[in-house]
This record gives sequence, C-alpha cells and structure tokens, in this order.
Amino acid sequence: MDNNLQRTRLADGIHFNSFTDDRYKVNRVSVAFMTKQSNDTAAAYALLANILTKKNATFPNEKDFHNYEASLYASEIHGEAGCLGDVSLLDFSVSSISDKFALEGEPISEQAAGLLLDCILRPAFQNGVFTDIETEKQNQIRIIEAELNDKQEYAHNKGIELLCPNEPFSVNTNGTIDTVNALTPSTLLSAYKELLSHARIEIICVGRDSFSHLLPIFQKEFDSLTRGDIDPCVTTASPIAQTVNEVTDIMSVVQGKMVIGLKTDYKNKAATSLMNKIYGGMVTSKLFLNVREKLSLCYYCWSRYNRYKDTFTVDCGVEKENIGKARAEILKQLDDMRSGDFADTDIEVALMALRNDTNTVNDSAATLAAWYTDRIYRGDVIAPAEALAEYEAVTREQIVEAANAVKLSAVYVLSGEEGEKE
Amino acid sequence: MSKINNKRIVKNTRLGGEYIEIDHATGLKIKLFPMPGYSSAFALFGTKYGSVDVTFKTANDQDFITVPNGIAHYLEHKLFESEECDAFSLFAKTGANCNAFTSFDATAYLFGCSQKFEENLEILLKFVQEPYFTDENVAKEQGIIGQEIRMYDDDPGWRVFFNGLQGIFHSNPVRIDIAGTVQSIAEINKDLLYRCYNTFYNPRNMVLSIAGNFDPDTVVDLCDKLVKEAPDLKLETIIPEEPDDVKEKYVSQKLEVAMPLASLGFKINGVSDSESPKLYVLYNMLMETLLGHTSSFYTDAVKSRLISESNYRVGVFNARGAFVLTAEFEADDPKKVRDELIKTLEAAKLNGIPEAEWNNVRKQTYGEFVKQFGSVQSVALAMLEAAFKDGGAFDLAETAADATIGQMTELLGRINTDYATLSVIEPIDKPTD
Repeated sequence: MDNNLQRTRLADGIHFNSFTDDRYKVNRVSVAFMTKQSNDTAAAYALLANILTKKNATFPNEKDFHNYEASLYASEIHGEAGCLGDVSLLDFSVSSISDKFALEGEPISEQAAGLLLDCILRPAFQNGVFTDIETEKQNQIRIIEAELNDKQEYAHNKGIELLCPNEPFSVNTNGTIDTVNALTPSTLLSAYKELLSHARIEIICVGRDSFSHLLPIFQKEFDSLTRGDIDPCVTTASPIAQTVNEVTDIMSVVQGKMVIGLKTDYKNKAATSLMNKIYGGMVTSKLFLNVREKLSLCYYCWSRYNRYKDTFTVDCGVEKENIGKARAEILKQLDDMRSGDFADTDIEVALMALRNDTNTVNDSAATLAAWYTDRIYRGDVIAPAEALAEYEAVTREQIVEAANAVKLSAVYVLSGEEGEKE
Repeated sequence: MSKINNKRIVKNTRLGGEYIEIDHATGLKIKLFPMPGYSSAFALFGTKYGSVDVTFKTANDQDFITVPNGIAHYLEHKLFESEECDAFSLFAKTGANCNAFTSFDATAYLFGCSQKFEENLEILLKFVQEPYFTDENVAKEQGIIGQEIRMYDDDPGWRVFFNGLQGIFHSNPVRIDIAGTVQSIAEINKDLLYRCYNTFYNPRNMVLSIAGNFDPDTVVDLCDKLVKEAPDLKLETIIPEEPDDVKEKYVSQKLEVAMPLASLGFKINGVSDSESPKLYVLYNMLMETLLGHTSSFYTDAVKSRLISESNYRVGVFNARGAFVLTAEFEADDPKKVRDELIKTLEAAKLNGIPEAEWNNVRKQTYGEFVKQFGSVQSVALAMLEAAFKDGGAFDLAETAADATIGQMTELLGRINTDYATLSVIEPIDKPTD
C-alpha cells in the first residue's frame, strides 16, 4: 500500500490527517493532544478523558448523551489518557459505521464527528467550570484503586516506576489518589485550557468514506482557538544507572509476578527491536521456549522493548518457590543472546513475524490510526509496508551488539505471603 | 474430482457481503468469506467440543462415560505438539500468528497471516489431525496448565464470574473452570486424551472458517487432500438435568481487591441450543435498554455512587444448556445494588419498556454487528459460532435490525428475578458480610 495519508496544517501545531480505503466498514476520527507528561497534570488529563466523553453543552445530561451515541449506531465517544515515551497522549475518538449501512439513511459519520467536536470544544459547563467534579474524582479514585485487581498490569507498572524513577514515562496516567483529590474546578479548567492553547494536536481520520467534507469543519473549529507556545513534546532515553533497583512486595496472591527492567544505549533501534523479538517477543523466543516450555517455570514470560525510552521489561507469572530460578534463567537467556547463541533462522522468523504484523496494520481503521499517531509523533510519516526496510537491513552482528548493550536495572517482585522458598 | 457434497452462497444485501458454505464429503463444514482489499486472512479450525462435554457415548460404547474436567482444554494444549516439533515453530517460519482456545462448548485452532496462506492452512489442517501424546509429554503439561489455573485463581474478574456460575447451576458442567482443577487434570493420561480426540475431532463434528485475503479454491483443494475420512460415530453428549432454581443465592470470596467486585446472574430456563443465538442478541438489547449505559438506572446509580462507573457492564452468558443474564459491577454495598437491579426489572414488567431508548439500543446493537463485519477475525469467528448452532453468520445482525418491542416485552416476562445469584469478591481486610 502506498502512503496516501493526506496531511493538512490547520493552525499552529494542529494538523488534519486523513486516509480513506473502502475495505473498512467504519469511519474513525480521533483528536490527539500531545503535551509534556507530569505528575502535576496526569490526574487532570485522566479526568478530562472521562468527563469530556459523557456529556457536552448540547447534551448536558449523561443519559441523553449515551442515548444519542447509541442512536448513531454505536458511535461511542472514547477518551484515553496514555503516553508516548515522556509525552502525554490524550486521545479522543469516535468510530461510526459508514452511512451506507444506516437502517434509515442517516448521515451518521458527520453527526458522529460533530458530537466529538462538541465534546472536546463545548463541554458541559456550569458557571464557566466543569460540573460534578466531586463525583468524577471519586470515579477516578475507584479506577486507581482497581489497578490492584489486575496483578499482571499492576506489577508491570511497579516495574516501570522502579526502572525509570522520577521520569515522566513512569507517571501513572490515571493520576494518584492524592493528585486526584487535589483537583478543583479551577485547576481542571486551567489544565483544559492549557491543552487547547499549548498541546500539539493531531486529528487523524481513517475509514471507508472521504473525509474532505470534515476538513473545512475542523478548520473552522480549530481556527477559533487561541494558541500560545506549542509544547515541543520531547522524549529522552532513560539514563543507565550503575545500580540495580530491587523491590519485593508481599500480597495474598497464589501466583507471584516478576518484572525485570533493562536499559540500553544502543543507537540502532531496528536491531534492538529484532533482538527483543528473538529474546522474548514471540512464541518461538528464547524466553518462551526455555523459561516456559522447557523448564515450566512460568505460565507467561515475555519481553517488551520501548524504543522511545530505550528500556525493556521482562514480565512473568511465577510460583514463589521458582522466583530465583526464573530470574537466573531469564538472565542466562540474555547472556546467550550476548554471545550470539541463536540461529540465523531465529532472525528470519523474527523478520517474518514483523512482516506479518506490519502488513496486517492496514486491516483495521483503529490499528492504522494508532500507527499514524506514532509515526506522526516520531516525525517520520511512512506507511506500514515502508517500515520493513530498516529491519531487513539489520545484520546478525548488530543483534549481538544490541544484546551486549542491555544492562540490568531493576527487579520488581510481587510475591505471596510466605516469601521465596529456595 | 472435488469432494464437495453441497455448496451455497449466503448473501446479505443490508451488510453488503457474501460467503460460501460447503458441506465437504468428510462431513466437515467449510465457511469461506473472501474480503477484497484486505491484506490478511484469518482461519479457524474448530470442533464442537468444550469443557462441558465430559459425559458422552459413541456407537462403539456400551454406555456413557464421564472423563475428568478440563480434558478438552488439556487436549488443546497438547495438540500443538507433533513428534518432530510444535505447531508454534511451524507457524513461526511463515510469520503467521497462531493460537487456540477452549470455551465451554467449543475448541478452535487459529492463525492470522498476511503471507503464505496456503502453507499456513496446510500446517493448521495437519497438526490438528495428527495427535501425538506420550506419557512423558502429557505429564509435562500438568505443570504449565497448573500454573494457568493458579494465575486465574488470583484474577478477581474471573473468580467473581466463575463463583457466580457455581452459585447459579446445580449440575451443569459450566460451573467447573474450563481448565478444570489441579486435582482433575492430575487424572488425565494419554489414553483418555486419545479417546476424547478420536470422539470429538471427527470432521463431522468440525468446522473450518476462513475470512479475509485468500483464494477459496485453494482451501477446497487442500481440504480434499488433507482432511481425513472418519466413520460416523453417532456421537451423543449429555448435559445433566438442571433444576429451574439457583443452587445458592449468594456466594463470596476474599481476594486482594480494593473494593467489592460483584456479578449478578439471572438464570433463564428452557432456552434451546437452536434459539439461543437469537435470544442472546435480544436479551442483550433488553439488558442494555433497562440496565445498561443508556438507561436511567445506570446514570442514577453512578450519580448516587451506588456503583462505580468503571467495570460496570450488563450482558448475557450463553453455553450449552446454560443461559444467564448478567450485571457486573463494583460497589461498596453489592446487595443493595442487587436489590435495585431486581426492582428495576420488576418495574419494567409493570410499566413497560421505554420505546425510544430501546430503539436507540437496537441501532447501537446493529451498528456493533456492522463493525464486526469489518474485521477478518470477527467474521471468521462469527461464521464458526453460527455453524456450531446450525445458523448463518448474518443472522445476529438481522435479528438486531428486525427486533421489535413486542419481542422485548415477551422476553422480559420470562425473567424470574427469584432465580438470581449474587457473587461477590470482597477485599481481604474487610470483615465478611
């Protein structure tokens, strides 16, 4: 597929991007706000992701709002506070079925895009501020408390905090109970206004129908914003520390979790990605085949590489008596990578998997939108198929160099109450 | 000559799609949905055999036999291995993603690929039909499956749901975890695995479902070559008789959670396998209208902080011989939420269903099905699930589009709010109720 993403500048730091393909049944429109991530703003952004997507000035009553979404054939407005490296990514989106499929011929896509704009630009204010803040804060606190329910994700986040302490990347995008409690109507309003005036804004439309009719609508709406200095949205690699941060938390769990954090300063990111695939990024990886299949030490054991931060995490679910053995084996497999103990077919297999993954990105409007959000942020807008060349140029020696650049930096363990039995 | 007994084109003008249904001479049902413009293809090779199928009989058996719980799932794990290597390694060489799943009433093996489709399909058809069980490889799997079971033991969302099923049902095997228990899987050996394999992995009991970028003729040629003939075993399975009422009205467990997590299930009796897909759609619409995010109940309950906004959902659980309407929520006082939910359903019986809101939900449900037909995975899965119930892939979307308020009223009348079980996961440091 050629890269036919149409990109138009609307205002300072605001772009409208569109991609049309009739394979899709839907039209998806998203508005992404990119800005510096920090503990001071995370709670406000998390609250905005929620509060802006359940009512607006036209539908100040939530029930009416949700009924309108439903009447537009499941055109739900979705808000998500996440991050790209050190940058906060506050993304609002709506995915609606093409007008062609409406039962009564309604112009769904335009109405859905209009609803999204109303949510972002015309919130349900009362006396100039957001309403029902206290209820929203309680909801957000419950979301934070419920993080504990998913032990796998909970442990992963703890591992990231340990791996990148005091870096924007490790900020909890849900906020903390304290920062949520500290929010007031005026601080929330300030955070909202700051976003509109200083965030980099990327509007990304992917779907079945042409989006040309939406361009002038978005142009008009975003022209009216008063823009200040635009956030540079910079991410820096996590510095390699000389010591290993280790923490063990005890909880009443049947199966323990371990997160091993690693860092690299190797510059060839494509080689590092391939190294990660072979090490722990696929079902034929060294971690899966040895730690899970051969030694039965963990039910899951995989590694993830973050190219923005130059960090890795190895996540595993492990019985408490096997924690020591699993850690030793995970690091031994890394040593094997360092000494080049992997086959050429492993590289071919990793490349095949990457080819398959990138070729498949286009088949969903949501995954293609996520692809372009990422590439636009990197400043290197290419189609999925075009991205393969950099991986295909990687040599075996570069993969070994990538493995040798990896340093152990953190180990987080969530263990059962009795502690480890050696 | 091709081994096709029957071939039909199933068209749907509303959704603008069509697929091919083939009855293969081996008894295998083949469903093929080419999707022009897509880069990938997704294939599922499944058998109508899930965790509930523990009691069965064939023409070769004198009487029904009962096998240990968790055996269908165990079999799924083991089929990935052949004498030479495992299926993961074979698919890795083509770059395909592969996986498998076992549900209450089906097991399926799958791959998704954007290259080498024919090679991948050959791998799929071969490994599912070539079991290789030894005492040693069967024993080794107990460790991995045991860890999988223990992982879910810590998952409050999974536990609240399963504890609920244990409360609702007296004897239907849905009350047992799909993976079985650490004790039940210890009874599994290679002979039992071969017996279950030879009973349920017969092409007459199986479906091949493929959607996306592929050539249908290639699929038929490969099936002709690779799908093995097998005798008709006259397979019979039994789901034990189930009383109308629930076993327990309240079940609870303590786990590491911040606030109580709950699941309320209403048992609906007398739903046949063939009518269950249609009722699944209609009851989902009814639940959404009266108790879902578009309802007055939800808005009021969040506003009054009766329930947490996160993790609230209503729906339908449906497996062979089991049909349950569900509401899952987080709340400080789950019993109070249960009472309010019941009160809302009873009030709707008296006052009627709000028609305008219901019509919005009808469009919402239909819209969700349209979206589903834009994904190769969802289309292949929809064809597989429909085939196991002798239905068509477009049936559910059509049910939603053509639903009437009269149907809703009738279904509401079938809900007996006395047949309800509340399952609660309580925080460890809180005193019990």
